[in-house]
Amino acid sequence: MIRFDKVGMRYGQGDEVLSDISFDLAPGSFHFLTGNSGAGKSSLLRLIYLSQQPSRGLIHIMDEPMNAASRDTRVQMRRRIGVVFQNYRLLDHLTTFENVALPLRIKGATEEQVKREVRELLEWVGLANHMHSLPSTLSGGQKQRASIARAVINTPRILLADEPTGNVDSEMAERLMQLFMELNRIGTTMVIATHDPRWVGQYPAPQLHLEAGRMRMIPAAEKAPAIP
Amino acid sequence: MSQTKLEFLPSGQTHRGLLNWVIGIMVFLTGMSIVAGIQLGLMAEDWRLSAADSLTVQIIHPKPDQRDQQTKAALAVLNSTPGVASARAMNDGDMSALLAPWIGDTGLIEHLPVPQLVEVKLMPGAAIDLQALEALIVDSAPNAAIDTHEQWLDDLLALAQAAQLIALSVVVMMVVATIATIVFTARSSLLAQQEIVAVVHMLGATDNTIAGAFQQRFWGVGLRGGLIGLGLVALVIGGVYFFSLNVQSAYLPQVTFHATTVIILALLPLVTGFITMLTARRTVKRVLAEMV
Ligand SMILES: Nc1ncnc2c1ncn2[C@@H]1O[C@H](COP(=O)(O)OP(=O)(O)O)[C@@H](O)[C@H]1O
Ligand SMILES: [Mg+2]
Repeated sequence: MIRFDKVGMRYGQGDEVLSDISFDLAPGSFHFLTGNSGAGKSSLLRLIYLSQQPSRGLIHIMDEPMNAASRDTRVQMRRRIGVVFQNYRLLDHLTTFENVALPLRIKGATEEQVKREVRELLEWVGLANHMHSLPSTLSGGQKQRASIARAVINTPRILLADEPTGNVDSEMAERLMQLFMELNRIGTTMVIATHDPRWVGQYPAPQLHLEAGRMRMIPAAEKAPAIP
Repeated sequence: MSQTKLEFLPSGQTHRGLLNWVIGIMVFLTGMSIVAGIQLGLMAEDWRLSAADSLTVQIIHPKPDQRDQQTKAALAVLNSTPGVASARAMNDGDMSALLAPWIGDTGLIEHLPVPQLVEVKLMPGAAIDLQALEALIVDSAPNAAIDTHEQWLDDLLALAQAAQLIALSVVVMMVVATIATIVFTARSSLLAQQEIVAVVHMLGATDNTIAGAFQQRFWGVGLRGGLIGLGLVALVIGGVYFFSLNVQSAYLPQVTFHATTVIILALLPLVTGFITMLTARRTVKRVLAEMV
């Protein structure tokens, strides 16, 4: 589903922040992406959701080579990947409803379809009462759920989440993790970046562990390395 | 089952309000230059046509009786020349009217040794050997000379052409300046909405979709600017026309507007809208192309 072959990446002329990254994630799998702050988790996710280009190595998404893919191919691929950004990245001037509707509208869905699907999803994530609120009036947990709703409205094949439990209390974090598990159960390939070892211990899933720009696979059974 | 409209840009960006006026002023200056250019061209054509089938014979002699006698002789020659439609000696009334702007309506003219002018109209398309004609006239009227208006006309036409060239270069400079202004504004507008554009881009919007949203707004800006400019042009032309009605003077050519001028002016707002829209589109697409 997501395959990296000896991928390296740098920002501008800087040193490589990721080196020799190779892995192959099966469809429907669930992985944590762990590592200390600055280890390169967000950068690795950016490579998957095609917002950055690798400086070397090959990337295949859904068996399609992405290195020299056309702009059109990238656009089509982005529509099949849901992303929950670290700082939500909701559009401030749009209501919760409109934010969540955005991917459907971009795709050119009908108004009817937009109304039905967005309502349904907002109920599912518990934001039915905040449909017409602007993001600035929502709590951190509500924003996070709105951003998750936006990420999954298109029923993506792949869902990436960058520290989704970082800014919410543990009760909310628990609910969000349940949400992700549920999405994974219906077949979504999940990669969740976190530097919070709690989750890794609680939900046994293999880890892509980053350290100083290099990656190591840790099988589900093992405990995550403690943060120094 | 209508497809939804994608509206992801916030409404109301103040610098575009200012852009309306900047474009309006540029369109005004462009419009005035276009009007000047076209009207000059039409005037020059008028002069050329009226000068081509006429010439003037002057008889310059200090003694009135000599002058009259030679005038009669010249008229005789002219009237028997094929291709001449009419030849008429200007009388004192004509001369005072002609000189009034310089010396006033004073009756002074009777005491001045002004030359006698003979106004000659040629038949349209008549091919007359002017040198032979002049020689013939001089035979019987030794102080006569033919003035074909050609020197005067050439100078005037050259002047009109130079003025037209200036008007054209003003138009070109205005178009370039307008496009540059739009490029700057589109870039800064895009920069101001960078986060929105980045998010929409990552949610799978195509470059065309994103450019389309900007393009739609800039079309409106261009159209409004064009209408403002056209309004200003209409105001100025209306003013000029109004004054030309009140000031009846021999110096002022009759102000008439050719259909071409009116059509071009009417199209100005649409053309401005299109130029603005296409410029914004190109600018946005270029900036987007830099995104992965
Ligand atoms: N946009 C960027 N430009 C330059 N350097 C960056 C950028 N984003 C991240 N980095 C650098 O890349 C490295 C990895 O960062 P990041 O991927 O954000 O790590 P993590 O998400 O694990 O905290 C860090 O050294 C960071 O400074
Ligand atoms: Mg990060």
